Amino acid sequence: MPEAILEMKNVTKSFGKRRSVRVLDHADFALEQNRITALMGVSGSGKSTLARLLLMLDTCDEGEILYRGRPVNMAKRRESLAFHRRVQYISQRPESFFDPMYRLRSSVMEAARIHRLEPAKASDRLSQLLEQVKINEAVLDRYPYQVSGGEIQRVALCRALLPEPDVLILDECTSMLDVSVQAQILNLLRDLQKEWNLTYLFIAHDIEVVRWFTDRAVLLSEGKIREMNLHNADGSLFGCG
Amino acid sequence: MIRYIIKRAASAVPVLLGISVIAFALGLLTPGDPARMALDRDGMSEITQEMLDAKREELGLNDPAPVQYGRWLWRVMHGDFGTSYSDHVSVGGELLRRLPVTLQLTFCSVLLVIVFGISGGILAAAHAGKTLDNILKVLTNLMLSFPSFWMAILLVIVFAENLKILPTSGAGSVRHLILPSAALASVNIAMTQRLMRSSMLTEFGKQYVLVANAKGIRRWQVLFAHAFPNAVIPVVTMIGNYIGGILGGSFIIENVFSLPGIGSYALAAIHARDYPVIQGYVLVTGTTFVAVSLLVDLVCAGINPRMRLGGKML
Ligand SMILES: Nc1ncnc2c1ncn2[C@@H]1O[C@H](COP(=O)(O)OP(=O)(O)O)[C@@H](O)[C@H]1O
Ligand SMILES: [Mg+2]
Repeated sequence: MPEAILEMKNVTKSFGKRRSVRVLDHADFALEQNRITALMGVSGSGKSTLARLLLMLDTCDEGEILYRGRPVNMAKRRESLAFHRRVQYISQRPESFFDPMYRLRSSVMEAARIHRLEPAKASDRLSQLLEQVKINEAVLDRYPYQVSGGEIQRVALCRALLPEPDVLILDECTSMLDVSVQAQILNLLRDLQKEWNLTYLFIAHDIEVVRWFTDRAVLLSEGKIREMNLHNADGSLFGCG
Repeated sequence: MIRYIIKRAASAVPVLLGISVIAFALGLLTPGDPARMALDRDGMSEITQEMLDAKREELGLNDPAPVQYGRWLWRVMHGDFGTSYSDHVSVGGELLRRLPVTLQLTFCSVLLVIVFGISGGILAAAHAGKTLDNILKVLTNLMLSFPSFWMAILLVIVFAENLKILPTSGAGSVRHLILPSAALASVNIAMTQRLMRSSMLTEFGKQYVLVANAKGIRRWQVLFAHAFPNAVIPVVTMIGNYIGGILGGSFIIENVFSLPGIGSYALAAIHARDYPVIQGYVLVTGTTFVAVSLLVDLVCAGINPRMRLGGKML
């Protein structure tokens, strides 16, 4: 039995007046350590909601989230800080991923400051990461609007990897990019995963990408999560292709 | 940025010229003969046709309108706004004497708008959908539905007549300015608060706020370090626009509280059809408003990196 690093147990989450829209309905799901797990589902099925719950940015109506087998007490600053250091997030929309008022460097280094990483070590690690994602240091002196989508995603990766996380939650992180850039980023993600022993939750709706990227996928539909068989699954299941 | 400043400042020139043309036209439309007005100081002496013709020539009233406008503009730019029809006192001097009162009133009102509008908006957004948000919503609704003079009367009844903690009228100290500026600011505080709230909520929905939260930043730090600077830009622009309304609305409030500002001066002048005074008022408030919007736009450009560094993608 592979070890689960981040899991949700019996989670229910609803939105709307009197919680009428049920996005997750007693759902169970576990991310296996050092593995890429793809999460699929049609748009609006609740993938991003699930990501927010796993990131502890939203609360479950019912059920619980476990990190390394234990619930995280977010009311305790130390515990929540440690959790936010180890579980990182990259989103769908590169154009608003970074605060437009700050240069990229201060957005990237903010995490180092919050998690009290030693400045010298943090900037060493940052240089190393920048080299790995093939971004020139000078790019960090720009504002987000002065950088292309592909570059933003690379910087976002550096940002996420800087505090030495275990888990990356990638919410349709390549869907807004050109096909060629998308392939570059996916290759990069795979290399990084091997090198740093990362666990990915890879949210996507393109089955070909998922097939190429990993061998484990789950499907979110009607509030439930179930394992998918990637060999027989049919791409047309997901409307948007 | 420097190019932007020059462009923005240049765009203010035609507006100023427009204001001056309107002010000048106001003088041309004056019923009655300025030459007669100038001669008829005491209303007693006999005025002959020769005297009128000579005065017309002296005042340049026989010249074509553009020439008169040029001469008038030249005088105005040197601070000579002519003399009041009603008391024959120099309009420029009187405006200068009264302007500080109006500017203080406007300044205090704008300060109240900034402090209460922005902080109220932040509070409401931080508690969106909760009790405090709903209380603030009711409060702003009330503030929006009372016109400023009504608010003025209400404030006087409560704070001056019942509680007796603030003076009802007059000028001279900060205490005299509290009630008038609160009355004047009230509607704008409410509008600013609503705008700030929705602007904050828009930012809350953006990815970078989610990311900031995911980094583990404390909630209030996300609020002030990330959401606020982005949300405040459109609000600053709107406050800049409200200043025109506050400046214009001050004449009602100056009257209610008997403040000797340019607003009450203008109101009296409207009753007396004292056109040089109205001209001067239009010019001074118009110019102040143009200057303030210029300043506000520059401030906005200064805080927004995209404006500061030019809008082009690299
Ligand atoms: N904060 C929210 N308030 C109300 N409804 C929400 C909220 N977040 C998501 N939803 C609803 O939950 C459903 C799932 O949304 P989302 O998780 O973004 O789906 P996906 O990422 O799979 O496209 C949608 O119907 C959406 O309208
Ligand atoms: Mg989504």
